[in-house]
Amino acid sequence: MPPPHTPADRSPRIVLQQLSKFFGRFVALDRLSLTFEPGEFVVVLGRNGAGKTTLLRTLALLLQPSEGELQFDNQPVSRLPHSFKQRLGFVGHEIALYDDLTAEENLHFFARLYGINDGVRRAAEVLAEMDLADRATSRVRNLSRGLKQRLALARAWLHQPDVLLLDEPATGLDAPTRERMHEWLARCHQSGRTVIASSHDLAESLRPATRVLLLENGRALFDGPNAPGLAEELRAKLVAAAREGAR
Amino acid sequence: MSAWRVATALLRKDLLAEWRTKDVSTAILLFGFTIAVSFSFAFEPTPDEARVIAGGLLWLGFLFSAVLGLNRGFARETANNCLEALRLAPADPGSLYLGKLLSNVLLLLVAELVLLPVFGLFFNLALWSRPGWLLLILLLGTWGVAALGTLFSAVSANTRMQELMLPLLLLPLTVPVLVAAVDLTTLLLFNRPMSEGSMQFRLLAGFDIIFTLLCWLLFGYVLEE
Amino acid sequence: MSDSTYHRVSLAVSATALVLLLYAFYQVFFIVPTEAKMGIVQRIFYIHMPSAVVSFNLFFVVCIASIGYLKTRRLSWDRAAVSAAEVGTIFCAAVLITGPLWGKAVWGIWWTFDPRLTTTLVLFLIFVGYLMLRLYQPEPHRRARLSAVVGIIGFVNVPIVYLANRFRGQHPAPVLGGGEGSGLAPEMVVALLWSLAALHALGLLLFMQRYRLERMRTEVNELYRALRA
Repeated sequence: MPPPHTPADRSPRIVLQQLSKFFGRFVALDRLSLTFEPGEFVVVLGRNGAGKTTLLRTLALLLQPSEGELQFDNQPVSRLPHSFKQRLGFVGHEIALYDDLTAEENLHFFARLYGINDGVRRAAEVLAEMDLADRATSRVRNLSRGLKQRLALARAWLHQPDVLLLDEPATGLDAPTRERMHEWLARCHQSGRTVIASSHDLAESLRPATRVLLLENGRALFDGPNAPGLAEELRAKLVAAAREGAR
Repeated sequence: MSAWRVATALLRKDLLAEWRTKDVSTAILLFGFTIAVSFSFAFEPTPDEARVIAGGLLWLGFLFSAVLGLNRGFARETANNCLEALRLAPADPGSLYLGKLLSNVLLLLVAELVLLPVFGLFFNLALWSRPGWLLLILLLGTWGVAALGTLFSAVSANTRMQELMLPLLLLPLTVPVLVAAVDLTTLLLFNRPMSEGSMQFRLLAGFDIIFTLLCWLLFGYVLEE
Repeated sequence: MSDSTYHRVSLAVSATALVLLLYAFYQVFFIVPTEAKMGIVQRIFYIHMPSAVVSFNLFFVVCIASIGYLKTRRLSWDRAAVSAAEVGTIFCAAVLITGPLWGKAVWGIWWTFDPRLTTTLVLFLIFVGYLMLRLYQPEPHRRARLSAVVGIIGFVNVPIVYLANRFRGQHPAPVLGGGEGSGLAPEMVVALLWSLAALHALGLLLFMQRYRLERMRTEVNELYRALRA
């Protein structure tokens, strides 16, 4: 039984007010107003192009809102110092790891970037936790997609962030690994961290979450607590929305 | 984490990756060598003629090879979108710039030191009479090219036509470096006292300081999504 | 600025520019005495030099607008920057065309490495690079941000290019606009001032039109987004 995670210092309260994000003419997020309390486990669902990735990237401070406000603990993002990113962990569509460096060399580098003092030890810890210890000296180029994804998760976890933002983290993972990832996310959540993860797959991803957010065309079609039978309800909503759009 | 620590982390990472792949060095060396050969065929100068044009040929060779090297160096960051990982880090973008700048300067300098004897061979140049001054000119000139090149390779990364964008943006802006460095190298080759080049030295130093500072300030804006 | 106000101002600027251009033309071709050494061809100076001044001033506007965008992230600054850049490129091209024409006619050589001409050439290349960069960036804010960086660096660079070329002693070149060094006759100074005023007015007019065009493009984007909502 792996040890529980050290508790989060204090997860921030995240507030979106009428937040919109445009890319030229395309509206990715449309006047979203949401609040994420500290320690929630939110799964973000939606079709392709619904805005899941844009939402997560905006929360990760990779994108600036076009309109509206995003606040962490009542501080608007424009006034957050660079050091605030210490509290965020993000896994995106691309693994963002250096192909020609080994798994552990990558982690050593990122440990230094995140100011982790004992980077070598911490990297070894995280590799063990993600079951990558035996591939520590393999170059990333030679790792399979699934292993790369696990390494990306390892990197996100390296600095023990208060908020984990994961964009379709199950991509490329086989079924048993997906299970393990869900367990790992549950442990992160139990230590008081906020977890916001997006997913394609309705049924599969719902289980560990406390709250479900369904996005469509940049708006929230559904936002509520996770409950049994929710998958069916959401599926129906999506079908209805698709029919609306086709009309 | 201090700015210096971040910069050195990036430097170490770049040097490690370079040691593994030798992407940037081979690009600069092979291209530089090819240019030297092409120049020697194109001009076939006598030793006296060579002294007149060598400064220009040398620095043109360095500049074009540098563009190639800078592009390849930054390609490492765009593969797998590693740039995103840098954006996520709580590091001040200025320190990321410094780290990248240092690695570029180092790699360019090493390649230039290898290319110098090659040029010296083809054009029968007496380059090493005053090695200290030569190295100073090399350092100041390369720093200037790298200072702007590091920023602009980031600007042109993820742009369509990026192989065109970097030289198109960089070459006009490095004209002062080209002009000053060529003048100084020519002085060196003609065994003139280096005091005659004091204005050029000051220009290069000023250029290096101004643009390192400016690019350090502006890199954050370039790094953004 | 509302539509009607804009039209009134635009009309005023157009009228001013037209009057100034006509008067400057009159000054240059009828009032100013023919220059002693170069003859009639010297009159090209009254387009050549003011165009250079206008293009430098416009590049200054590009720099200020670039800083403005980066500080405020409002696209109106970016619109000003691109408008100034495009109009500045045109005036730069005018300098680079009139220069060699003049050089060939007077000294028989197309190009001299006169520091001012060389600096204008580099300025032209920087403008072109700036515009090409924008061409390949479809997303408005990214385009604004990257070109702002280029604009600022480019502007700081230009004086240094001038200095670098000044320090070159090797090829003393016939200096275009040698009239200034040797002292311009008072009528020439007057004509020059009118030309400066006229070309600045023209530059302003073109800038305003370009800005307006860019504004309309942004409005179209906003309409598209509103339709979708």
